[in-house]
Amino acid sequence: MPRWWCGRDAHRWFDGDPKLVTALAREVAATALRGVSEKDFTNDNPVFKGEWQFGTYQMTALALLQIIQEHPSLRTEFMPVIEISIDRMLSEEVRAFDTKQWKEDALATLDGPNSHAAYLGYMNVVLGVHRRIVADSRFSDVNDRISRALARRLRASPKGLLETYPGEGYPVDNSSVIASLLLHTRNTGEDHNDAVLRSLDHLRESWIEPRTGLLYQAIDSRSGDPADSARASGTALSVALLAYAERDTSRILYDAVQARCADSLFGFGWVNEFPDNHKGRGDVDSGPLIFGMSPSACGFSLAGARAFGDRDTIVRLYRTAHLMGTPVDYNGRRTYATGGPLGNAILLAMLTTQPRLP
Amino acid sequence: MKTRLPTTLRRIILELLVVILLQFALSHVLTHVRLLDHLLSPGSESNIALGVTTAFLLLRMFVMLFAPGWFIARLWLWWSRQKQING
Repeated sequence: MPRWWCGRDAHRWFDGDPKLVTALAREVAATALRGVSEKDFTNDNPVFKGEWQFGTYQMTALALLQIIQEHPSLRTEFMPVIEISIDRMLSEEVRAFDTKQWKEDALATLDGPNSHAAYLGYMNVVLGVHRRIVADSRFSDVNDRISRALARRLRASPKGLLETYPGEGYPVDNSSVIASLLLHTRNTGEDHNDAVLRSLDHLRESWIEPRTGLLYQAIDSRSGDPADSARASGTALSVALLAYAERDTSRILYDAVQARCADSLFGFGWVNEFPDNHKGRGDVDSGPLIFGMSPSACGFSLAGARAFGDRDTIVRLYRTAHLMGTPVDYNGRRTYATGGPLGNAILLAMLTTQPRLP
Repeated sequence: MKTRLPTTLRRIILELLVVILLQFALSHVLTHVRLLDHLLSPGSESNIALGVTTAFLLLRMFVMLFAPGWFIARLWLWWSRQKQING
């Protein structure tokens, strides 16, 4: 009975039930329209607060774009929210976390050498998906400028890796760069293949731990050596990002997460942060680990499961998300109490990942 | 004449309802006060919030995972006792 009760909505999510999708989408849209500020987050670190503020708008825009793709009748309702979210992501206030770390503005220095991989990469994925749906997107110019800057910086990088912040390189953030450039090529025909293919080669040869097939969480940008363990949270988010443009690599990573980190009990599924039941500490990427289970990896894995038509996995994972996420329905909307603004937006984006390329 | 449920059965049902309603009400309250955000992004002032959140999640896990079995077991015990008394 518990497994049936917690899994009631799982098949509806997998099938893209418009009623369920709209209920959470309206909650996420209302949050974005109300505006998300750093005060909405409880962490002490201003960089993380800024990242989460940015991430909330980014996941909101991606989720609603996917929903419009699957349910075109919802375009009128959600397109204005998407464009407001993009405007906020482009605002000085929201990109301040990146500006502070680099001591320069990412958008004002697109001709410069510094990478700004996370801000520009995640931003550019949203712009690319938006442009696939809105051919004459008013964000086309900024999408072109960011894409050219990222491609040029990738070509100049000896290890095919762009830094998120000075001295910090993360494969997951580079997955967003790769996906966004592939999307730009598909949208415009502009060729970034030399830069992208080289970076993908590095990903497959150096950023993946050979034993587990998982991505290292961090890479030393100068030496190209691993700077952190191979972990599920970064790998699962890479699966979600690469699913926008590079399904072969995305599938390889998805299979590795499922083989090495996924587990279940009585129909409730979860994803461990570390492979093969190895123990380790949780951090801001993984969320608090509960007996090794990673809330972030569980959430991000929903995207791969939907992208690759893995109904069993999505049902198992959703049962756990239902149990711990605490969905509350009110006034035709749904919110997940444990998620807050960011959690709701991530869950919506992951659960509405498209089985086809955008 | 109005028939009353035997006290023990009523208590079993009432206790189950109270636990379910408490969990339901708390989940609505926590949505508004957003106490549970601390779980995903804990800070230095999150200790009390994390304690309350943990207690709520334990209650929720009990309701969702164990309450059906707990209810059935109590019903079965009640029914066995009734059978003994009547037999």
